[in-house]
Amino acid sequence: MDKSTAGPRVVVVGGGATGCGVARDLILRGFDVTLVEYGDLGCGTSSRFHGMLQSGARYAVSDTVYAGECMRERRIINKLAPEAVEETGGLFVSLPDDPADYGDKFFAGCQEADIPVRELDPADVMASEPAISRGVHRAFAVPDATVQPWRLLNLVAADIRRRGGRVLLRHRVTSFDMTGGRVRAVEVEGPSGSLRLEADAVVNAAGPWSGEIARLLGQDVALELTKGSILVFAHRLVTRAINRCRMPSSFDIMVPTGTVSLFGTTSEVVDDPSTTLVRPQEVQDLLDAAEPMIPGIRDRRVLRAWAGVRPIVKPDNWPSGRSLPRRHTVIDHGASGAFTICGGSWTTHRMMGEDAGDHVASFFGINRPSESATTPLSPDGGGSAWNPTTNYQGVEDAQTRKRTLCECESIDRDLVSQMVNDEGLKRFHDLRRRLRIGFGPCQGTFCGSRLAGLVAHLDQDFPAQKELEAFWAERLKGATRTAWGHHARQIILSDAVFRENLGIRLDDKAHPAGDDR
Amino acid sequence: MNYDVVVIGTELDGWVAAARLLELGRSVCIAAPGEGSLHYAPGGLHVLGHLQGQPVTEPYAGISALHDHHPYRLAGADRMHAALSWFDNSPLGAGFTYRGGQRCNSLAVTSAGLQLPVLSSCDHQAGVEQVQGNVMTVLNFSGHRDFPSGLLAAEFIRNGERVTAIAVDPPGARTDSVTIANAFDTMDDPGAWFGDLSAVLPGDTDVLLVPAVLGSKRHRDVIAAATRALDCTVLEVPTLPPCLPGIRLRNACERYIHEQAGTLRRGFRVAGMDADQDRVRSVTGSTGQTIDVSAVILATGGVLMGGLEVDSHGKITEPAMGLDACQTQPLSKVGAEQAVDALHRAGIETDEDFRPRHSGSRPWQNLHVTGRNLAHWNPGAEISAEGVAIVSGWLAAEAAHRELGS
Repeated sequence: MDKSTAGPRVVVVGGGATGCGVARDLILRGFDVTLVEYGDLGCGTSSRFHGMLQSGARYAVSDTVYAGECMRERRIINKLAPEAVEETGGLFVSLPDDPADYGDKFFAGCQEADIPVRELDPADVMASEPAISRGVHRAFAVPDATVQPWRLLNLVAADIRRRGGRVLLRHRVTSFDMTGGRVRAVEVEGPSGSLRLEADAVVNAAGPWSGEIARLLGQDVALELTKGSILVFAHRLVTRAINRCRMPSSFDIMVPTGTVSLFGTTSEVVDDPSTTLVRPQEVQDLLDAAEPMIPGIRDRRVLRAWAGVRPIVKPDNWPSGRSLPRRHTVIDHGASGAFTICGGSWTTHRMMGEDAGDHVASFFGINRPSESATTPLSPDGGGSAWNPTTNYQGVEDAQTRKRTLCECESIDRDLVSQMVNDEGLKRFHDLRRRLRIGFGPCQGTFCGSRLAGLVAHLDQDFPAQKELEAFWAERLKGATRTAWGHHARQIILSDAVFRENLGIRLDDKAHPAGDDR
Repeated sequence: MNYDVVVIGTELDGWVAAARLLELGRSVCIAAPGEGSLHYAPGGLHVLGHLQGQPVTEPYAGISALHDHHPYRLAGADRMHAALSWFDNSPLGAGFTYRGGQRCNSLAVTSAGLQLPVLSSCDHQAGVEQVQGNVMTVLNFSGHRDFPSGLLAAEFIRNGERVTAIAVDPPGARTDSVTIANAFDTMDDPGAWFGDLSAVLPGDTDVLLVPAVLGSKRHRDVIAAATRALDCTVLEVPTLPPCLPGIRLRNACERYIHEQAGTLRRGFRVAGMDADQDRVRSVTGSTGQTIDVSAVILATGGVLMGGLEVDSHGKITEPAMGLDACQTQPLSKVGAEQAVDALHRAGIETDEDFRPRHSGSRPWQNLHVTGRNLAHWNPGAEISAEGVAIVSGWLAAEAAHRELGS
């Protein structure tokens, strides 16, 4: 885009699903957009969820209108970025202790929300999902899917850059220049020093950190922060996303994603948006809650546990005890040109971007509708659907099997070299988020040092050894939450490889936020 | 079937115990479900390398800082020294050619370019003293994944050393450590292969560092041939597992057991035992076979090898004999380092003859526990895996021999 003809300058704070959705919507409307992210894309709440692209069926009874919006958005995302979506399908199963009348309400709610729903014979469902309870008495199929969060966010960020926008990673907002009561500039600090970003408007899309950003804007945004913890099981224990057929709550969902399955979630109100520690009791609670759905769950191999913090704007005078609305909120901070958008879900992130885009456009008196639902994300119109064998297929097709770097996720050396050489990405966690290195059962035990060897080979000045140490410490942090069974053996093996073979010393020092997922 | 001693497990401690008992004239059966963990071992005799995060120079002097019930404290420095000296002079150690006799650690070079304190090591394993200040070349085999030579070279360069990294195709079609080693073992003329290598080797090379894959049986011949062909020092650096130095040690152990007419029963997983009060009478395998015994040495490898099991509540059990495991810290520690430490330090408590408690303060009379099954030590933090295995295995054998009488 020619900068001289660009529209008003908007800085979007936060590189999660919300911020990326907002930034893309704005750039498609002709704004001059800069996205500022404190860490890497999607290293906060946007990668710390159950991985589902919702059909909306989960909310079919509790909020039918929202359920319909989810279904509409789910279709749009699948069309825009099939390479980041896996069409797993979803099941809602009634188990003996689920309310008997929920099934009929659920079916009616799905139909009202235009969610394709089909009742299945429980015997067929139990035959095709051998891991789940034998006590299923009703079952419904809905088009739930899963999304690869980092893949999608990197596609969105690439599109923003292609259209002339800026994406600043590892830049922290330090202050806003609000001279005269209007947004003038955003001061940020990055790896190469401070920057002043001239701006006509700001959108605060910092998720659980939105309250802190709002304070820098001189505003007070009341958020309720809820931590949700998730257990990561080795392998795909189920073929479809399994939901309990009851009002949406905690502990009711098992999702197959990538090479693993996720069970979640807990829900507890927290004060600190950076809280990602999973307490031992939460692990026990998750196991107890998963047992009725997947009998014998304690004998299954768990790879790690992690947590994310959901931010929801608390409406004024909201009665205590009543669960907060799922829908997002856009707050217009008066005539200053500052906005905060918070809440919502991954599935609706594009719609959230559109809503924020409407607010910003109307602030500048610009009458240009959103194009984010219809404009392809990639110039070539999107790739083919992703599934867990895609990586392996690539390795096979290229006959690069002997150059495999990470066996668990079928990542070969050439793919890593390309990221290092073409995109300048050398930090292991950044490579991990983009390529999935280190996500499998060995949790970085073998691929960690191979990655270090390759990156050191490509750039001898990069502190690969220190990076390897930090990579291992972070992998271990999540893995030691679930140190039992075969995974306890894996942790000891990993310890033997890193300390007794490579000679690395374990060090519990602090590492950058967000890398433990 | 009846043996003087059944050794359960093919860990280093089990091999050492069996070798010592055979040497003392006892009949021995080693019963194990599989291969044990020696193929994870990078070579070198690690006795006590780190204490409180600091490198240790004199391991024997360092043991006073360890937990009261640490295996080395149970053994004491004199008995430790007796066990390690025996190993150095035994056919097991001879297969490895430890330099032996030292009381001070030297530093081995790791593939990450770091240093590990080691009491003794093979003469062809790269040590800091041998490489420092020399013109080095780091060799890697193209496609070999398990040797991060880039990291090794970068760390040397960072430390101001003169080093070049080169890569050549491995002998044979495949690129994993074991297949490359087999190719060297079966090569007609290793000297000729290294002769070809000299074409790409920088001419001023003093020391050639190679991944430790130059054979699993003939490695000494291969290294000698390489030294002659290249006219420089050739030293091995251990790879990621599977590690040939550990495999060579395992092979030496197995060869010795066969030579001494010991019995090796693979595929035997102990599922239980029959005892008469404080004496084990027989052990029973998972398929129902029973072996009558006069003494048992439990060398099942701790959590790593399934000798100890951890359940989802964080409770640790010993599945073969049903022994009580000691757990002084909960596994659900907040810091990862503490959680791994708790996992390591859990295990079986024993007396000075490595006999676990039977009832009250009385020990089992003919049952001994060794190696990673023991409580109160941490091989990762201490860099002490081989030392504890040899010391506990050897002393358990001595005690069993004494109990059996003449």
